[in-house]
Formats: sequence, C-alpha cells, structure tokens
Amino acid sequence: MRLLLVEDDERVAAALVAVLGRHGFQVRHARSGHEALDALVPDGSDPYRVVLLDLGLPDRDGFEVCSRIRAHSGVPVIMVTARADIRSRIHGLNLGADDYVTKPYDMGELLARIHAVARRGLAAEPAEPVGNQAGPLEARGILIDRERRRVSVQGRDVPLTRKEFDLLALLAQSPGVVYRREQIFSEVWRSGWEGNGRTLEVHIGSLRTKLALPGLVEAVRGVGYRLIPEQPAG
Amino acid sequence: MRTRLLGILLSLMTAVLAALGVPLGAAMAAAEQSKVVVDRMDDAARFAQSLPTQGRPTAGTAVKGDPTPVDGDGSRLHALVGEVQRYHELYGIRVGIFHRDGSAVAVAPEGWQVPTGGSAAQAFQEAMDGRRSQNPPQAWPWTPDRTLTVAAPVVRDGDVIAVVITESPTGPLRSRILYRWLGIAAGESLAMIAAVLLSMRLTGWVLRPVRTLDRATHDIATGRMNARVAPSSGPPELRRLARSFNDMADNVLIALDQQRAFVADASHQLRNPLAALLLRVELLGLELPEGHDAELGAVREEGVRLARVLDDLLGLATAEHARPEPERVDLADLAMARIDAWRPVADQRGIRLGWDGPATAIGLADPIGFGSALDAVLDNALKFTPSGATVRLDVQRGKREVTLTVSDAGPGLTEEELARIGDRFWRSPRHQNVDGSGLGLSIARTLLLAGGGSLDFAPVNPTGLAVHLTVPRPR
Repeated sequence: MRLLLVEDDERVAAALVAVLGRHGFQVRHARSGHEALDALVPDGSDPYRVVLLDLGLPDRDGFEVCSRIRAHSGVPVIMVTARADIRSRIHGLNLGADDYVTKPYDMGELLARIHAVARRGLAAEPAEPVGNQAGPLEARGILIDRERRRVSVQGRDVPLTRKEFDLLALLAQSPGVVYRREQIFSEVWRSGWEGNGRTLEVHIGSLRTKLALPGLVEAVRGVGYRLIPEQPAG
Repeated sequence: MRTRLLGILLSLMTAVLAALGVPLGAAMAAAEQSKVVVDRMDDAARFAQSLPTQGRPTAGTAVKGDPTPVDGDGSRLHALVGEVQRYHELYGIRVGIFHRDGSAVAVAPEGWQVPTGGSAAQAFQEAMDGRRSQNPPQAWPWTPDRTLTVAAPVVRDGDVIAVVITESPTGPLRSRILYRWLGIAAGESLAMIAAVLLSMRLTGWVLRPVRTLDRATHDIATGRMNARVAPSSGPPELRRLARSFNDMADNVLIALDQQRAFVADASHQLRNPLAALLLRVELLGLELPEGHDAELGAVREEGVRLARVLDDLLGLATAEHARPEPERVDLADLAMARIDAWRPVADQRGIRLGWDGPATAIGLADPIGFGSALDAVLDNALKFTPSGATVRLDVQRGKREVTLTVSDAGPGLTEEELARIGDRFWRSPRHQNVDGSGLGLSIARTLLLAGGGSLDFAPVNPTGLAVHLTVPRPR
C-alpha cells in the first residue's frame, strides 16, 4: 500500500517513514505542499491509497493543500498535525479531510485510522483491482471468494473455519501491509487483544498448514502478520 | 448611587432654602408688625395732638398755678372722646388716654383700666418716662391670641402729661404674616421642584456613563470580550474613563490573543518532538528481542501520559479550555503507580522509595492533574535527597480529605524559604545548580488548586522537607 506523507519536520518524517516501512507501507515523503501536489499527479505508477498531511508546511497552509487535493482527487486525506484546537479540527474536516489526528499520536491508532480510511476509499471506488470487499481476491494462486466464503489454492478447495477465513480475507485486503495484532483481534474476533493468549498464533499456524503455503503469511516480530504477495525469489 | 447622589443634592438644597427662608420669614413678620406699630404710633400721636392742653376734666378742679382752662377745651375733649369711641368701633382697637396718675381722659371701650402687668404695663411706663414704646414682642402666627400694645406720651412743654395707649388684637397681623409666609413657602417649593428636576438631570448625566461602563465591564467579566463603551455624554472625567476602559479592553484582548498564539506555538513546538520521540520508541520496540513488551508498553504509556500532560497544561493555560473536572480517584492506587514509575530513577540514584498507607483512598481529583502534581513533588524530593537516604510517600485518609505526604531527607528549607517555595520560578539560592526550571511545584500547586485541593510544605526532623498534597473526599 502506497502512502504519501506530507511533513516538513525531518525528524518526525524520518521516524514515521521508518515505522510505516516496518508495517509494510511504501511511503513517499513530501516536504512541502508544492511537492505533495506534484506527487499526486498520476504518473502511471500505483496510486496513493492515503495521504498523511501535516498542517504546518513551509510554503503553504495545510488547509489550502487539502482543498487543492480535493479539487483533483478523491484520495483519502488524514490530517496529522500539532494543532489540537477544535476549530482547526472542524475546519480541516470541512475542507474534505477524511480524518484528523493530533500529534503526538499512538502508532496503533494512526495505523488503524489509515486502514479505516483506506477501506472507505476502496468502497467508494469499486473498480479498484485490489481488495474489493465483495468480489473475489486473488494472490499467489489463492482465490478468495468473499461472497461464498470459499478459498481455493490452485483450483483446489480448502475448507477453513470462520475465523481462519476472516483472518485470511483481512490479510489479503492489503497484501504486503502488516496488520497489527490488536487490529486483527478487533476485526476478526471483534474484541480487544488482551487476554487472548496465543489464539492468533494458533489460527495462523492452522491457516499455514491448510493452505500448504508456509511462506504466505509472514510474522513481523513485535508488530503482527502480513500476506506476502509475491513468491519469494528462489 | 443615584438615590444617594440625589439625597446629597436635595439635602444641600433644603439646607440652603431653609437658611434663606427662615430669616426671610422672620424679617417679613417683623416688618409686618412694625408697620402695625408705626400705624398705631401715628394714631396715638394724632390722639395726643387732639388732647386739650388743659385737660383734667374728670377732676374738674383747677390746680393752683395752672393756666386757666381755655374756653372751648371742654368741647374739644368731648370731641376727642367721641373720636376714640368711633376709632374703637371702627377698628376694634382699644384706645385709652390716661393721665399720669392713671385716671382716664378718654377710653374706649368703657371701663378700660391702665394695664397693670405684662408688656402693656411696661409700654405704659416707658411712655410715662417720655419714651416711645419700642419693639413690642413679636407676634407669631402660633402665639396665642395676644394683643399688641403701643403707648405714646403726650408731651406739653417738655412734660409728659398723659399717655395714649392702643391695644390692638394681633389676629389680622398674624394672618397677614401667615399669608406672606405661605407666599415664601410656595416660592421655596417651586425652587425645590426645580432643584429636584435639575438634580435628577444632573445625576442622570453623571451616572449614564457609569451605567454603560458597568454594563460593559460585566460583559467582559462574563467573557463577551468585544463589549465596548461609547464615549458619548457625561462629565469629561467619565468620558476619559470610558476611553481608558476601551483601551484596557483592547489590551486585554491583545494579551489574550498573544497568550493563545503562544500556546498554539508552544503546543506545535512541543508536539513535533514528542511525536518524533514516540515514533523512535516504536521503532526501537520493533527491534527489541522478545520479552521487553512490558518495558515497551511502559515507555509508550509514559509517552501518552506526557502527551496528555502537555494537553492538560496547555489547556490550563488557555482560557478557552474548561477546567478539569475532579472525579473519584483511588489515590492509593495512583500513588503506587507513580512510585513504580519513579523507582528506576530512585534506584539509579541509590535512594529508597518508601510507601505507607491504606489499600484504597478515594479522593476527588483530576487523575492527570494530580498525577502530574505528584510527579513534580516526587521529582523534587528525589533531586534533593542524598544517595542512601529514603523518600517516603504516606497516604492518610482524613475525615474530609485525603492527604499524600512526600517526605524527603534533603537539606530542607529555612522558614523564609518555606514561605516562598511554590512561587513560580523560585529556586532556593543554595540549589541553583540542581536541574529544573523552578516551575515544577508551582505547576503542581496550580494543578491541585484547579481540582479543589491544596499543596502545603512543612519541615521534617532532623532534616528534609515534607510536601502535603491534599484533595477533598467525595461526599
């Protein structure tokens, strides 16, 4: 999943790029509003799924950048800013921002918000090839049919339990992106992750066994799990 | 204010009117009376003129050596008696002409005698002495039905041979005086009404700007900062005051704006480094081997706490933010958590952290604010306690409040210093080299006061400082 980070503070940007990178996002960093608007011009490469926009930019106001983005594109925008006052929040959301997060933020919360607005962005554009909520998902020869809740590997049906299916479907929404443990628990088990022990590990293990693709679901230590979209080289 | 001002003005006016009116009334009464007296004097003089030169008609005998009675004296006397009679009938004034020995020459009404007492007798005596009677006592409208006696001597060849006395009733005189007085009273009433109207206009003129000022001040005090006074009417001093008030309100607004701008800047400047720090912690956490989750969680929690403290402090500084609402907090639990958080620092410095108190102590406090205040106090205590000594935290449940006492074994403070500790930016001159801004305890005090608590200091035996953090208990 590609993200555009618009942030003038180098230290914040560097740390955020690193953390987001660890979570499997490809992050493009823009240091000014001008650069951000340039980056959003379609150039044939994968479009950005979410824009993280700081309001205190050196060349122009973040609010202005937001309305300019809105004039050209429907890409979800999360304002990530130090301005905590209510007026700025309201103004930002009115200008077309999809979400508003104040610094300093909890990383888990920011990631959850990124996933949330990305999901809404997909729902708004049904032609998007990846991650359609209702349509079938395909990755590495696995066909995930969400409507009928069936999974097949190389044409062979694999019976999965409900939780296993939800888990696989979640990871397949954004292949390559790391889903944090708490997020997986929220979306699959509809509960907080405290006290669930090793439930998640057990399900991942059985999923790997049933699909017979050991390298498909990768554990990222300290973070969570992700689906590896491409066959590892070699 | 208005009634008071009116009262002062009107009582002054009343005093002035009384000071003018009373002597005027008295002078008028005196003038009326003297008119009467002069009139009676003239009458008496006329009677004296017409008294026959040789007249002892009642005696009828000629005294030896007296001039022989001139012919015609008898008829003149008779005419005089008639005149006296008519005078009495016409004016109702008693007239008597008496010889020196008291015998009557002509009297109306009949049988009137020389008065023997009172002012009348005095007047008679004065006339006998050849003087005109002067200044009979003033007749006032309220004096009882009295008479006004005027006596005039009849002088022949330098001798007083007889006395003419008139005794007039004072009724008409008194009613005339009363009538004149009523005139004065009417005039004064008119003046008073004019004064009331004028002073009402005056007080209105003076007080209108005061009232608008009052309204504007109230508006500003209740947060409507754009309230201003129109400096239109009123005394110049108040107009100047209104202008100054507007300037002051402008300055307050500017100061508030500057404060808000400062807070916004400060928040921006603090939030970015904090965000970067937390992201670095996150990154570091990803690199850590297994088994450090608790540590990482604690660091994250401190970061979140720091962010919330920042929010709260900035909120406290901004007038826009509402003050934190105190809620039911288990202070024993909170104190334990803070002790755990400070233990690594204490261990590093070789200081023991002691704890004593009940298992639960519910108090009314803002948990973030109280935690920050406790942090500031603990930080302070750890800073000044030497290695190997103990910092104690005791929790006591009182009847109405819960007190947390942090006692250190530092050098303590002198009495003078105890009075100043907690002031903003104050630091003991003996400890200038210890880290810190000098704001910690004053922020702690502000935080506690905001939640209805208090912060007090006391010395510890043999050395050290005890800080009491007190919050009310829920009812």
